[in-house]
Amino acid sequence: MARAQPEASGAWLAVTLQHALAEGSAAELEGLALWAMRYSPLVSICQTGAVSGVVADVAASAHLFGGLDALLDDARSQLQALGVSARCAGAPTARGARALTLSTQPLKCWIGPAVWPQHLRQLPLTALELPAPDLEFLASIGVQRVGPCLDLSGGDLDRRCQAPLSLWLAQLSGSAPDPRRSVQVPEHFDRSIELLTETWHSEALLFVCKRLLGELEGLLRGCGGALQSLNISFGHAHEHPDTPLELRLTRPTQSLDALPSLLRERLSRLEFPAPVRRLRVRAIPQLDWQPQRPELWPGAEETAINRDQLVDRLRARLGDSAVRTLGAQADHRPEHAWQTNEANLAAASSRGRRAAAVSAVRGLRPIWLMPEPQPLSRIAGEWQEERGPERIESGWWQSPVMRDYYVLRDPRGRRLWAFRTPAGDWFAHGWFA
Amino acid sequence: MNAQLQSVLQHPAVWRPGQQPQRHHAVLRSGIGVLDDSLPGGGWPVGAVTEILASGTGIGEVSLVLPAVARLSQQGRWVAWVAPPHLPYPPALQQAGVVLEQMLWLKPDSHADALWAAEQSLRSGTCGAVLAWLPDADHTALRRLQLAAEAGGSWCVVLRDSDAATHATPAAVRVKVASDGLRRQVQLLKCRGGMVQYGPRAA
Repeated sequence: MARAQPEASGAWLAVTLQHALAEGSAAELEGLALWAMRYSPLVSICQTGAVSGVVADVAASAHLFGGLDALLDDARSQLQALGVSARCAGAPTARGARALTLSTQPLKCWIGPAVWPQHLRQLPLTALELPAPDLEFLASIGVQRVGPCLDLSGGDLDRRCQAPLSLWLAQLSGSAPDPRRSVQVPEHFDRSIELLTETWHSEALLFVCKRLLGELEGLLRGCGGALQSLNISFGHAHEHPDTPLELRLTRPTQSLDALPSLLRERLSRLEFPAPVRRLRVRAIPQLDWQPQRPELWPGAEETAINRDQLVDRLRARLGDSAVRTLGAQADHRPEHAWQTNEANLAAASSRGRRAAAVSAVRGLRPIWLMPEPQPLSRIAGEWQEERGPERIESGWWQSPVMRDYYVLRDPRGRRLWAFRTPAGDWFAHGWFA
Repeated sequence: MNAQLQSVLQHPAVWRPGQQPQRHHAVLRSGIGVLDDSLPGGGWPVGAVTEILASGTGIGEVSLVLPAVARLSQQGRWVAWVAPPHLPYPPALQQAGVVLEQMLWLKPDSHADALWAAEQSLRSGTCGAVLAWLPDADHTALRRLQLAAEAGGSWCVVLRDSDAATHATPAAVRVKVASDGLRRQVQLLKCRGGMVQYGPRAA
């Protein structure tokens, strides 16, 4: 058999779960595959018996993460933060990276193509996922590591082993192609997790949410999409209906770093009828999303992002209806001359009406407008007319209104905007604060 | 004068009679001549809390800060109105030169939420000014706002009732607004790095 040449120039990241997956829990592995899509869209699942994991081809994308070693560190710290016990390794071949995660020696850094031919000779054969009879046979002829196995001519060994040993060794060293089926990026994200124990604690729920968000972010990066809204439902014991939670963002985003803090605000205000048993996250990525191009001069874009984050945070705690921007309406009736806008739509919507609205109002207007005009008798004070009247009428096709507005003042210096109806009743409508 | 004494006199905390107070911080011109003359540095302090104590609604307590708010909005900065007692009426704001798109109107349900919203808006650094109506704010709350305003480089205005004048304040500037029946009276009760006025002035 041909010696392994340093022709393996690929870069594969392998992540192998350290615990055996329970029967029928393929979803967890799929979740791991989605998570790994943050590094590359070419992710495939490897499962041999109880040992399961994923490999990802990161040759083309590693530079985006600051090189292979940085990518490996990033993967390790992320998995640790998400509470996934898994081993990560990087090597020039998929089979090699997978074998590294299964070998016993601790791994620190990425194994590059230059050192790979030497390094792979030291790998134990147990890391190759050979069938048990093959391992017994090889052990009986005194072969424990990959190196001596490579030295023996391949044909004889192949006949005695169940596994296609020479092909596997060639794939391991990189001299034979190793085609793998990539995981398809799903069109929408729908993952649920059954909790180990029922819980009321928002922090525990947040931790589980973070894990699903990690998978969701991987999916978004894998398909190049972005997210604007997210549905989480908290499942309880069967007699209680699920508690839904919808999270809406001001603008679509691919990075979900800000979501946990928003979720914490929402979770702390959510009241569950019963302890939470399962958690389901659903989201549909927007594929027509364009990442914002970085500006030549930083500043404007950053401010916009900070504003969106502020609005999202305020909304998460105060509610959507409590965070508004103000706008004017071209209408001469005081209670219709204003409007409020969704905080994110403000810039786009009210610009067109501005010029018209400014010209519509000529008289003096108060800074505070009361929600409803109040009978003047309810506001204590000796009111005297300071300015007026300004007549404001509405047409017969609207609710007919005829008012004479005055600016009133009392001895304490307070100024009030009030009107008199044709019947002679006085109503207060605003304060000149 | 010996060098040691000279270095002591250079200390920012030392003020000598006859010397103009040194300008140490960024200010925002109030747009009201009398006030700009009295405030250290010639305007409202940025990155600090300004407390405005009004003896009632409708005596011009908001229009005291409106020129500065208008200027901020024209520069494209956001201004957050946290828990105002009534609707800030858009036509009136426009008459004062305020760009309405830059106004953020927050209506929290509780005092705790109002404090939280004010602090978040200050800390984010995206709001040029935060106007907060906090009648129940205590010393700790104001101190928190002061720190948040420093962190975000934002101007925080807290509007309260004039009963609060008897309590100590961590705010950099405390202004009392009253009226003699015809004209608005403004009295500087406290200003960091400046001179306190011992009588109200018309403004």
